[in-house]
This record gives sequence, C-alpha cells and structure tokens, in this order.
Amino acid sequence: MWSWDAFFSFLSNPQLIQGAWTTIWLTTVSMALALPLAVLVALGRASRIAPIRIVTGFYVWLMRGTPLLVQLVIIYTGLPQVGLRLGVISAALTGLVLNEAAYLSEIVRAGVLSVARGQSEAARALGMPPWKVFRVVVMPQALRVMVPPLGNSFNGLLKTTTLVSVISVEELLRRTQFAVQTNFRVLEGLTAAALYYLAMTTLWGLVQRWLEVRVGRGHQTGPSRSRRIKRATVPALELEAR
Amino acid sequence: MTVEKTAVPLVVEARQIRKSYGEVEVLKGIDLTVRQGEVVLILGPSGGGKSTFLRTLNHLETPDSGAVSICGERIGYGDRAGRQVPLRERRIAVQRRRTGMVFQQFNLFPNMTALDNVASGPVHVNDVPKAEARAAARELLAMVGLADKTGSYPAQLSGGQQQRVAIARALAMRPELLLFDEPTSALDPEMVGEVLDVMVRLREEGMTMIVVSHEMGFARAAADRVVFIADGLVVEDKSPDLFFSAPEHERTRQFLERIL
Repeated sequence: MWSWDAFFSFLSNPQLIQGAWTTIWLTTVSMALALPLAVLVALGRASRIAPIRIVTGFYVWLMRGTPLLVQLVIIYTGLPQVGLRLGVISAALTGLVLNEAAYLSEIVRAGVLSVARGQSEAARALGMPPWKVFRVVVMPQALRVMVPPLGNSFNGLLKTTTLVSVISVEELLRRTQFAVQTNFRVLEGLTAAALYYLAMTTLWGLVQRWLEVRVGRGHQTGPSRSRRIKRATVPALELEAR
Repeated sequence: MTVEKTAVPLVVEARQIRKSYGEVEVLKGIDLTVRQGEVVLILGPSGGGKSTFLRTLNHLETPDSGAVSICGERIGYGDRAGRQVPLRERRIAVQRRRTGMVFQQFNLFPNMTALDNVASGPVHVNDVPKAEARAAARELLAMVGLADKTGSYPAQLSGGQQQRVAIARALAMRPELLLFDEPTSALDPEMVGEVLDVMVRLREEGMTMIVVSHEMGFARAAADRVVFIADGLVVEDKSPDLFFSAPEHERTRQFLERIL
C-alpha cells in the first residue's frame, strides 16, 4: 500500500534536503571546474604541437571510453593501493571533473568550429593578438552554440552524481537509501527523491533559458524576421483547421 | 613622373610576392608600390590572385617568398642579428594595426552593436577606455551616415549599412592604409552607391586605399591607378584613363571586352 504520510515525511526529511544540497553543490562545482579544463583540452586538440594533440586526444578517448563508475572506484578504492589516497569528496570531484571535462571538450570544440572563419580574420585584421581573438571574438560566439548542449550536460550531471553514492558520498540517493532503511518505504522514499531531482532539473531549465537569451544577443533580434514567420504560419494553420 | 610625386612617401612596397596552394601557384611574383594618398584599384579575372595578394599585405596570407613592407616596416619578419626571421603572430598583430581591412562579407561581430563593433579595435587592441572609444565610434558612425544606428546589431542592418559600419570599424584604428576586398560584391545593387560614396569621401580626405573590385564607375571616378592582375602576375598598371582607352596587353583587352 502507498502511504501518503510516509511520502510527505520523506519529502520534508532534512536528510533528503541535505542530500539534495550535496547533489547541487557537487554538480555545480564539478561543472565549474570541468569547463575551464574542457577549454584547455579543446585548445590542446587543435594545437599545432603534435604531442599536445596526442595527449589530449588520448585523455578524451580514455575518459569517454570507460564507465564513470569504474573510474570512480579506481580513483577511490584502487589508487590507495599505489599510495594515492583521496578523501571521499576529493575522489568524487576528481572523477566527475575528469570525466565531464572530456565530454565538455567536444562541446567546446564544436562551438569554436562553428564560428565563421571571417570572424577571427576580421579580429586579426584589426590587430588583435591571438588570445584576444579567442577571448573577445571567438569564445562569446561559440558560447551561443555551446549553451544548449552545456545545459544538457549540467542536467545530466545532476543525475550522474547518483553514481558517487557508490563510493559513499552522502548525496541525495544515498541519503534516501539510509532514510528508507528505517521504515522500508522504498516506493515512497525513492519517489520523493525522484521529485527532488525533477525539481532540480526543472529549476536548471529556467536558468538555462535565461542563459540562452543572454548569450544570444544580436541574434534573431530583427523584428522583420519574427513577423515573417508569423505571417507564414498563420494561414497554414487556418488551412489545416478546415 | 613628376618630382613632387616621388617625394610622397611609400606606404606599400610589395616585391616578388609568390604563393602556392599545393600544386597551384596563385601568385607568381607580384610587385606593387603605393604612395601615400593613392587609391589603387585592382582588377582581374576571378581566380587570378587579386584577393590572395591583397591578403598578403596584412599577412592574413603568408607569402611563400617575396617581401611586403608597410610604411617601411617589413611585415611578418623581424631582424635578428642581421637576419630576417619570421615573427610570431603576436608581433604580426602589432604590425597589422597600421592597416585596416574591409571584407566582402563585412565580418561584423554579430554579438556586438554597431557602436561596439566600431569601438572594438581601440578597446581591445589599444586599451582605450570604453567611454572614450565609444565617443569616437559615434563620430565615425555619423561620418558614414549611421548616427541613428549605433544601438543596432548587425542582423538588424542592411548589407550596405553593415559594410559602412565595417569601414568605420577599420577607420577607428586610424590606419595608414585601407584594404578593400570586393567591398560591394555581396551587396544588392541599390546599396552599392552608399558604400562607394563613403570610399570616395575617404579618398578626398587623403586615405591611402587598395581596392579589389569590379566597380568600373569607381575605377573611373576615384582611382589614381588601375592594376590588372591575371594568372598571378601584374599585367598592367596605369591611370584609369589609359587603362580603359589604351590597354597595352592582349590579356587586358580580352578582359575588358568581356566586362564592358
């Protein structure tokens, strides 16, 4: 039988709230550390220097080719065997950041490649040195293309953090499992946890939409364009209705 | 020619510029000198190397051999212990500040307003304070007839307006030389005039310009010299009058017959 009482007591359980907070914190910090690393990796893969290209390419290949779960267990449980002992949180962050950066680097690379060649040429012709060409002209335009897939990654990461429960990080899933063990209300407990995840991803969706508007400045701002779309679609809809 | 003309300083000196892409030799040893205040129009069949040559002048293309000097400074190479060695991109960037370039596709930065496009060079290259750069940009936009478009993004402007912003952006760096790479080729016919008007005005103010273009009207009205480039070589280099009325080479005559 489903118990509403149990469900609501899970929802308001401080254990779960604290777990959700850990999940948000882990996701945000991982993403914030992974993104600059991803930019470096993406630049490395486009480098003129062959060893840099090879090393960064190998890193991406390795991280994307093996499961995060395996990477986490190796970092937390395996590495002490060779004398490298990391705390629970450090191990979790290391795994999440290294893994996520590999995926994000592909997004960064696609974003940079999407910027028309004429843009960097115009910047160079003005006399901008290479790093300014990248920071002032290429990166802001690449971001516009990157925000939707980056947002997707953030959304995914919110849920991927459940994996670090395996190395005993007390994030939302692990806290829920503890709480469930007191009354064995598995369905109510995990439904409550699922709701928390849903709330977090929904909230993130709003943040993402705001970000997209911000980085999209200068694009699709012409009034003539939206008017044209409206004029084109309205008669089509009327036809369908008949 | 006359004595006073040779007293005018050289802005561009290109000697024996060669460039190949794989097996294809696009530039086969081009020479060109341009003096201060001259307007040189480069004409020629497409694929003849005009644009490639223009782009070697600010080192957007690196010539395989030959030397480009702008205001006496060798572009792309520096002197190290008496030997000419290639410069790093960071140093070439400094050399490019003397040269402005206007592109066929405008290449305005789509995420910046017209005002910030024009201010971008001074702000990001010369570290001019933003307010000061914007004030100067406002004046330049007024000069090209776009005082009311400062807050518009490139997507909200017509092609002719975008190209005028692009000219203002190049001018904001106070260049000694302006390069135009087919500035009107991507424009609707009714917008060509507004861009050419700005260019004619720049000429009156004494700007040194090299223009790759097919605008014969501009050639006759505003060019001091017409340089005809075909098959990677300079075939003819004359005043517009002589070029159109008395071309010396068969290749030039063929070309003129086809386009006039």
